[in-house]
Amino acid sequence: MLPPTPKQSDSSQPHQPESTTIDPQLIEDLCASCRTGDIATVDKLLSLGAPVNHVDSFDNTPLYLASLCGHEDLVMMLLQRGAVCDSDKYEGVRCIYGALTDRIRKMLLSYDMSKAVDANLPFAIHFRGLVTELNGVTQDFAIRVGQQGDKLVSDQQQNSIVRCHRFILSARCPVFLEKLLDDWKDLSYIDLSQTYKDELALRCILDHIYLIHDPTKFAKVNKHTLLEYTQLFELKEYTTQLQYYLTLTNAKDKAKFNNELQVAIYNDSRIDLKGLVMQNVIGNKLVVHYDDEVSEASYSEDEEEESEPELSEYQLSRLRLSDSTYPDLIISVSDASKNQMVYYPVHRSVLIRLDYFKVMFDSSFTESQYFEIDPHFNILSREQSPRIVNLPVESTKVAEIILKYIYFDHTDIPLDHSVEVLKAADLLLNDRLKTMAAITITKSEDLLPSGFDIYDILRTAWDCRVERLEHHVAKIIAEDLERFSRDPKFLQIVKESSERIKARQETDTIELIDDIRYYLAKKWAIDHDGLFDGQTESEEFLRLLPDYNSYLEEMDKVEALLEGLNLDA
Amino acid sequence: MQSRRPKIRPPRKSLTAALDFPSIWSTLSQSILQILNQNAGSLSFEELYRKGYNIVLKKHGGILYESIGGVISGYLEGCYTKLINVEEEGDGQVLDRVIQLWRDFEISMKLISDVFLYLDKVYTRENHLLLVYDHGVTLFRDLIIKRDQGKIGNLINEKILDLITANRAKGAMIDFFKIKEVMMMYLSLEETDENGVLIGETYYTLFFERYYLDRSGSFYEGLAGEQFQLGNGRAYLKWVEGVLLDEENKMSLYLNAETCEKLRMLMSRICIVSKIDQVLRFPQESLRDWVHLRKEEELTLLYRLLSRAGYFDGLLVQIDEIIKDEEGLKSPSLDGQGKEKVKISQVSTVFVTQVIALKDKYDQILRYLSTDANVQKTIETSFTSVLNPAAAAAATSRLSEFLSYYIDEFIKKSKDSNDTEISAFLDNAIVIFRFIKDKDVFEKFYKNHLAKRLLKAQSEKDDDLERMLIDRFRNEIGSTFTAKLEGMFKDIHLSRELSAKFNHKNLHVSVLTKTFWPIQPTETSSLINLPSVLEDLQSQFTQYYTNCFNGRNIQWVYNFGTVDIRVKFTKKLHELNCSIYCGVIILLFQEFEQITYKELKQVTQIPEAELKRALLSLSVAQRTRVLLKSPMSKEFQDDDVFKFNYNFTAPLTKVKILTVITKQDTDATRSETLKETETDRKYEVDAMIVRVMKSNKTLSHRELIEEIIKLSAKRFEPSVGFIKKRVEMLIEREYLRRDETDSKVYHYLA
Repeated sequence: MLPPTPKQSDSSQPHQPESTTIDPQLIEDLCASCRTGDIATVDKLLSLGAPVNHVDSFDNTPLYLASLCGHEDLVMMLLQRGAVCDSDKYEGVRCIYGALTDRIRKMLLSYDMSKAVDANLPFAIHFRGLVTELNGVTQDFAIRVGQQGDKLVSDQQQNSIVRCHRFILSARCPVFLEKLLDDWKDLSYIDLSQTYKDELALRCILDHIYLIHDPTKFAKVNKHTLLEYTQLFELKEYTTQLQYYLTLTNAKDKAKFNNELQVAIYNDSRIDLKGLVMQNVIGNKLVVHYDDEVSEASYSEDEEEESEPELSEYQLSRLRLSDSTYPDLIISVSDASKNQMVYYPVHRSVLIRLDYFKVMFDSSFTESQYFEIDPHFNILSREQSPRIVNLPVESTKVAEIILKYIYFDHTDIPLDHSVEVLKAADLLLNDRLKTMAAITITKSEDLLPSGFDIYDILRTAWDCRVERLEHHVAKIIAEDLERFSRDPKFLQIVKESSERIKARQETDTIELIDDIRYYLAKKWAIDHDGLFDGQTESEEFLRLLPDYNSYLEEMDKVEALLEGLNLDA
Repeated sequence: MQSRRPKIRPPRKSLTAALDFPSIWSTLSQSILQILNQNAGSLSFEELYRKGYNIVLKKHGGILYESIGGVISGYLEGCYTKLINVEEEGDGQVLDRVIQLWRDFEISMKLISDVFLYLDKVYTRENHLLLVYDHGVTLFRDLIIKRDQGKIGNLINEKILDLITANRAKGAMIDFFKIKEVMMMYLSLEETDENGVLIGETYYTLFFERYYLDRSGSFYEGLAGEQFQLGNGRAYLKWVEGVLLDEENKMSLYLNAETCEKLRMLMSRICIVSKIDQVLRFPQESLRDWVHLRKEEELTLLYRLLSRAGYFDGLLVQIDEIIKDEEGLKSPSLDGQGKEKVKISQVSTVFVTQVIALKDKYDQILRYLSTDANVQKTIETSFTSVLNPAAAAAATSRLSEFLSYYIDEFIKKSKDSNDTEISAFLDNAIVIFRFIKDKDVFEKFYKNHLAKRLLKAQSEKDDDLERMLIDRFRNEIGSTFTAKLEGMFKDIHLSRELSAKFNHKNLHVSVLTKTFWPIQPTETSSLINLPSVLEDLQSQFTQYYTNCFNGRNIQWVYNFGTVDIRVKFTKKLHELNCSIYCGVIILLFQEFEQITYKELKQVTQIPEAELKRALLSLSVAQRTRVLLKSPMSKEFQDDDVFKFNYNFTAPLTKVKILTVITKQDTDATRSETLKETETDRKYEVDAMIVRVMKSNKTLSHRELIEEIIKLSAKRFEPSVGFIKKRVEMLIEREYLRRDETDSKVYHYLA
């Protein structure tokens, strides 16, 4: 790869390691969401790989639109996700001048290019956190990186032994991948400090593998040694970036490099983790049909019918030893529609991104009592077979969507699985995934996931407390009130809605009806609130509006409907 | 095949399946009990969580929430009964048992709340209930600690305080960590209001802390009382410090920061604030001893303790008393004891040195007391009030006078003083100067002394010390005070230049600005008949001066002037240095053989008092009898006869004829000076009142008095009565008028 040569059209996006063919629709959607300030959708689109620094067909960047429209939180998120506001460039200046409020302007200015991006996508944050012990001991490999008591580098009181995860090392670095499969196969500890004398550079390598870029460390390290090491470890992207860095002479460019490198690391790691999931996790799944012989050895006639499925030693070892996955956990998914049970080798350290699993493994219930710790290095013992834990979802499709989400923030949820994903996310206690699934539905206009009618969606929204979805349903109904008002199921759901409310707080409103009225007004372009500050004379004005009568007609229809149900709202 | 081996079956569709709450709940309640009995390891989180999840999803959150509370309550009731039984059997372990119970319960509740995470998230929050964990904790509070009027809680509190008291009294070894653990428990037991909402107060803050402070208070009350009875100040302070330190070390082991602070306050109040005033007055080892013996250790210890308690009032009062009892600060009597004559200049020096020494002593004490600003202020006010006795102010306070004499004495002898002595002198002078309330009185005395010194001074060089002193005064209270003094210097300086220009070797004149100097020409003084020699010189200078300064009027004052006369006596030629009056008399004998007193009066026209004084110097003073008086006596009659004593002898060629000063004279000058001050004050106060009223137009009586006292503070302290009198005068003279309705209000009349 060559050092990037900035192009005029997208000068603020210096590196595009992923394929350069970006769906223009993605950019349009991103920019549209930035206009409306729909932070959840922006989150999702960015997770899908929408380029944060591209321009839409009107030559606006997402950051410019968000600043112009005054969405403070969104501006912050874009900046954190690597949106660039370079006051030397046309786009940056435009952002700063266009910013709606001083607070946004201040934010833009404070996010100078030289500042390291400290939070990319949530998965990156999670992986960075894995080096520490905050999430419990999940590491399974110890590496000595320096001599104990070495004053030169141990000023940060760092332990000279770094504890890592074999699966991350393998996924991120070809050299580790190879060695761990071969020479180091039976080791749980390796001393690299003899081969790689420059401790700081070695630490930078490990940091890089864990998606960490520490500008202070980077400032101190000898770049040439580091380059040598990146080549030895065959870290291609890092090597390219470093070579590019070494061509920089201007201090300002060097300062900007920190930010650029972060974005590069993030993109690079995403590819690696995607590979890990596709090849090692999903690729190694074990499918057992209900009517299969599970295993000759483990099966016994008198086992209870409802007992947990048990895999044979042979199958287990296949899952565990299959190439470079190094799972410490196996999740089982029972797929009723296909009449099969599917097993995926996974990693507890990633699974705990779902609060459900985090709580499960943090508590002292039986699930958490399985892991043995090698006390010498305080890492997981390699001796035990991974434990099987059930992932409470209804199909392998859903399971795989969730796996992709937790490993590399894949948020492209197909419409047909969105309701299941939504429910699973609710059960697994991950609100962000819930929102992502809901967005899929709301963005699909009046298309519905197959097998669900609009009322199912609304009930799911109620169950899982997704307001966005409730509004969406109300909007669909308002759009086609004519048809829905004749549907007995619709009457039923209105009743349910009214009961929902009454059970809660004894008020006279029916949320669904309120929402429908709101969208009716929107549909006929009747603005009750905005135009006249609520003055009574607006009634006269409203009469002049072309669709006012249609609006009134439909409003009456709603009234009639309520009367029919004996409801008052 | 499928029917033969339905081993792995898909979960039922949750959307449609009905919920069998009783059966699910029976498993769940069993599991909750298992968890409460420390058996979580055998349970599956997944199973329990999903059961809870399903129940909530099916809208049975309410009944689930209540049921969980029910199970926990049941469990706790059992625990309570066991605890009570154990206690009634006299087991004595109730404290340990409660701690253990709480430890286990807390862990269990954490697990239970993990299981019902979904319930908390969906049902509990939306219905504004306590989270499952908090709910469990409140149940523990109500069913264990506070049950039956807080039986267990009271029991534990009592036991803990028994332990602590044993430790305090006898140093018994106790397990503070155990106590700390109970405290942590108490802090977790948050109180709720009638709606079950947490109110941010805990069992600790509402119940334990009060009990703890009560018992700690009465314990130390008793102990402090015992120590107090011993009646030894030093021992008491040592004891208090020991106890405070000891408690300080221990309290942080088990109390939270707020209670620590409350305990500190309580102990300070009991051990220090309530007793220290009496302790400091103990007959032995008390404040008075420490001050007089300058005990550093005791005083610093005392200060440490007082600052801990933040209570200084008593100390300040007693320091004030001690200073007021210092004999060295009482103005010495000037009446000679027996026959010995007391010289005011000597007394002054002694007294001032004494005051300075005392000031040094108290400065040292102040350092031991950490240079506390309030102590410093107290010392200064006490000194000031002792040195300026209030009663009949000017009559008894001679401080101004003493200082003026002290300065005069030092400056006169300053020729041999080195720099250290001089700077010490300046410092001392300022120290005393600060203590003087009536600075205007001092100004008068000082001016008199200064005038004499300046007129005698020969050259600029002598002025250095004087100028330094005046600089100090100016720094102290500003230039209004020193303006006139500086004017005096200027006059002397100009006069020297003028005399040099006039260039007459026999005449040296000091031209003084009338308003600057304490010397005033009287009507009679200029009518004196001068001998022609002197008259000549005088008229020459007068002419010269009026030529130089057109329009200026010159008046002659002879009081401070001297003449040198060379006389050939029988034995030897002598040069007599004497006052002008003496000179005039001596020169008369160029014309007269002898002359009577009456004739002298007529010929010279010297005022009688001055004449008498001059004649005393010339004819009565033993060493300088240039004239012979008959009859020889101190009294003067009209027909007394004076002759020139040609047989006069003296050891040196130069003879200085000193002007005799009688005691009556000094007293007279003194009372005159004071009278002048009185008059000046009237003018000053009048001016102040008019100034204040002019700018305010209308003021109440009280405001006016306050304002005047504030304005005059730097110079003197007028009594309220005095100010009132001045106000009356001004009303009479129609500068002011009283308000028609409120006689306490004054208006300014333009």
